Amino acid sequence: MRPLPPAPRALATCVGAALAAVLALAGCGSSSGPSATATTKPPAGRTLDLSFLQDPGTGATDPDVYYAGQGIILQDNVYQGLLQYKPGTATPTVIPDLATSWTATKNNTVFTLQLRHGVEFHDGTAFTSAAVQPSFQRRLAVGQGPAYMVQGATVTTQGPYQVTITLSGPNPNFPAYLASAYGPRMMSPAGLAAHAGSDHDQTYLRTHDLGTGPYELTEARIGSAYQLEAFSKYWGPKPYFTTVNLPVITDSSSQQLQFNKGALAAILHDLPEPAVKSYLADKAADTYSLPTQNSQYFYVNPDAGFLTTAAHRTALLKAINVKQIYAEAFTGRATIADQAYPAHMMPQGDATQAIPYATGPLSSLARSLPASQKTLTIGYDSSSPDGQLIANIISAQLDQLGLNVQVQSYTTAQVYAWAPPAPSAKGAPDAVIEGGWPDAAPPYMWAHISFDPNGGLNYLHCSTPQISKLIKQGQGTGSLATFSTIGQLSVQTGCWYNLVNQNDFMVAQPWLKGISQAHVVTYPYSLDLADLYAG
Amino acid sequence: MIQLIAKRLAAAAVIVLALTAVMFFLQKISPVDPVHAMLGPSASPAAIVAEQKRLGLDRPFLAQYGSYLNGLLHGNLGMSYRTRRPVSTDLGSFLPATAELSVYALIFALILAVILALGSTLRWPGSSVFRLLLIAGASAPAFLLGIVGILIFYSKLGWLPATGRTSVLNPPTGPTGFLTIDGLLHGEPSVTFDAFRHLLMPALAVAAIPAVSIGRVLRSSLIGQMRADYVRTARAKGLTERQVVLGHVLRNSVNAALSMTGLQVGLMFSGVVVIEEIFGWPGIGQYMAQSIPAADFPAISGVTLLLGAGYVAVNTIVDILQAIADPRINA
Repeated sequence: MRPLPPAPRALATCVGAALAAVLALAGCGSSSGPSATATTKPPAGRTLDLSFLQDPGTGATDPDVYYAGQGIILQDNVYQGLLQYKPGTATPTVIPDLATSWTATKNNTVFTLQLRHGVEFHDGTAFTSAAVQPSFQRRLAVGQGPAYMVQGATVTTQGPYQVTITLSGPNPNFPAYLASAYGPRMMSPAGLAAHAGSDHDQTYLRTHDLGTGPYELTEARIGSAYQLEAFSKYWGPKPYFTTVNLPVITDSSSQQLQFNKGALAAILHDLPEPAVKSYLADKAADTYSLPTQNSQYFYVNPDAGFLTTAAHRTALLKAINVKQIYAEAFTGRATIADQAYPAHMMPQGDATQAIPYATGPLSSLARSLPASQKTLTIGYDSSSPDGQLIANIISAQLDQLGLNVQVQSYTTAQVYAWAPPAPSAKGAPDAVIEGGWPDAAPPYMWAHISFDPNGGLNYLHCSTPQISKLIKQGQGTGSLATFSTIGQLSVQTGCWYNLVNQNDFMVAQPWLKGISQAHVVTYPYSLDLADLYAG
Repeated sequence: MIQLIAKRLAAAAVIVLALTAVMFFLQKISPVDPVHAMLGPSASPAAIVAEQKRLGLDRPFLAQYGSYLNGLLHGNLGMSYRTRRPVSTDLGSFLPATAELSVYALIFALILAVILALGSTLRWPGSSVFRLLLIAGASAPAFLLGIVGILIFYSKLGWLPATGRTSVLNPPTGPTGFLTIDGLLHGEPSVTFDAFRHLLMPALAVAAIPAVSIGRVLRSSLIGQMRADYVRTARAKGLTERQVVLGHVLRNSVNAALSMTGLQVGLMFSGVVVIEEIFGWPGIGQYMAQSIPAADFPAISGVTLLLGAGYVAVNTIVDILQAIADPRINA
């Protein structure tokens, strides 16, 4: 074979030039890029660099549309409601916000609120009682998830700084609605009128805001980046940070790398378990495990296989070693749940969830089952790495007891498709791991959506007539004793197992201060940015 | 040539139609409820029904499909359930980022392929290194290259940014949608430079595997052509090696490589989706990835149609280029 000819000199020159060009170009940018070593010094300017992991989702900049998790930080810092939950405490406490005080009639039907003076909307409109009705009306007109909170509410004004809200029926939880992360926020009536368009301002509010909060929305590029600037005429204490950048980072590893290099001041949510362990051991970063009402539940399908009786379902629940789940997946960022409700909803000792760990009942049951019924499928929400982790651990535990356990992921939309108003959980697996939190702290907020036959989180359609009756009763009275009984009855069904109460695990540069005081137990993933400072 | 183009366009129309039918059928049999997921757990059944009606999801399957096709003919891809914007608007926002990444990746892939092919074919001291790259490169997945790139060029060296498309807060938004070009057109070279720094790592990660694949095919052709009679004749005529390789051999070797390029562009789109996730690149891959869990059918369908049409278009262009390079193909 004839040897191939030598390469033309030009080729070698081209290769070398190309490599040199790439390296030179890359190197040129090093001066403006992040430094190679982690920094623990506060930024020179008053800019706070945070991030979203994935885009915050539908309507993240519109409080009458948004109904999910990580975008709460935008709602919470740009808009304000009449009431709010107190930050810096694990006990959910409703406190004033744009209303300075409120009273309720004995039957919790009429609420009178005194409004704050000297508040200005970001568009320059003064905040008065004239803003309340248009804000409520807009929420109803948009008609999305959070609209139910103002349904049947009639607003009347008594001068510029007093409003009366009359409900169509008693609701002791109404102040909690007003304080909820998804509660009605006050919007500039002039702005709403000016930008209504044909969709009740929805187009405008994708990239602008009409709130009163300490920050204004100055940039909103879906899937790319969001930015907030401090509002110069904010009625409260001026925020330390004048600019907050929230770029969308789609990969957790990239997010961690940027934090480690000091390019991000903090990571506020969704750190995977290995990263949590790593940061807990890392003395160069501050970690926070802050209380929330977010819980991971194990839902059992009462219409599936051998699980059609409460006794069998309870045998299954007893065989779950929660301590192992906690130790392997949640150390440092959760507590083992001992109540049927998410944490901080019920006083300790109420609604207790006594499901002692015992493998014997399920082992015996498994031995008695025909081979065709020994297969158990555990589903989890594909968007939840924690759900997958729990499902895998439980799968390993139950496999040892004679069951053939399979783990399968489902999209969020699939999981919701099983829940009411669907007539049945057709296509659902035998059990599902799903996390969630209530819209607000009163126990009705969880009991209704989880334990009622028509509850939006009752994915696998389990309830009893007694539970329904008590929920209806408790809705009007708000009696904790009633909701405690409901919780215990839910445990007896064997359909639900509150596994762990998850905290918001956050990691921050040591110079970033005020995080614990800026966190609200009922607003997951979020911080009151105006309470943060560098030090 | 006109016949060839007409045939390809007809095939593209059939493929797009088939894609829409498949997408609708999958949606129909898929057990998902985007409306309930959208409105959340506390939404009343009445609110869910009202929203289903507003989105037209309460209508019979064929009626929905008919409306969709009618909308498609008028350039209306429907409204995204997730972003609440027309899908065409969303694609208009996200596509330029993907297009810019893909175009640069393709350019890098072609340059690298030629370098790898020539470098490994011709006799010179570095040829064995290039041969090794051709073998090893094929087994390095794009996501791994991306992660390694971030670790080296961002984490260790701090030369390149890890994620995003630009660090500029309000970059120019037109006319091309390519920040590297729009920056220059708006007289802001810093935007172009910043965009290029952001683009370099993801584009190279996307380009690596296509470069190796195209390079191997090109190398194989080059080796075959180097032994052809006309090359010996050319050398006998006294042409320099450079004239022989660049003037004769490369042109005659390029057909198979072009064909492979067409295939690789299709595969490159799947690589782009993964790379966009790793590098936080705000393109249609990310848009698609976030639309799937929400069962945002109009968005998923829109991206699928776009990618399908893009794939067909690229392969059509490749066919035409092949016909130009080798007129026998058209005959």
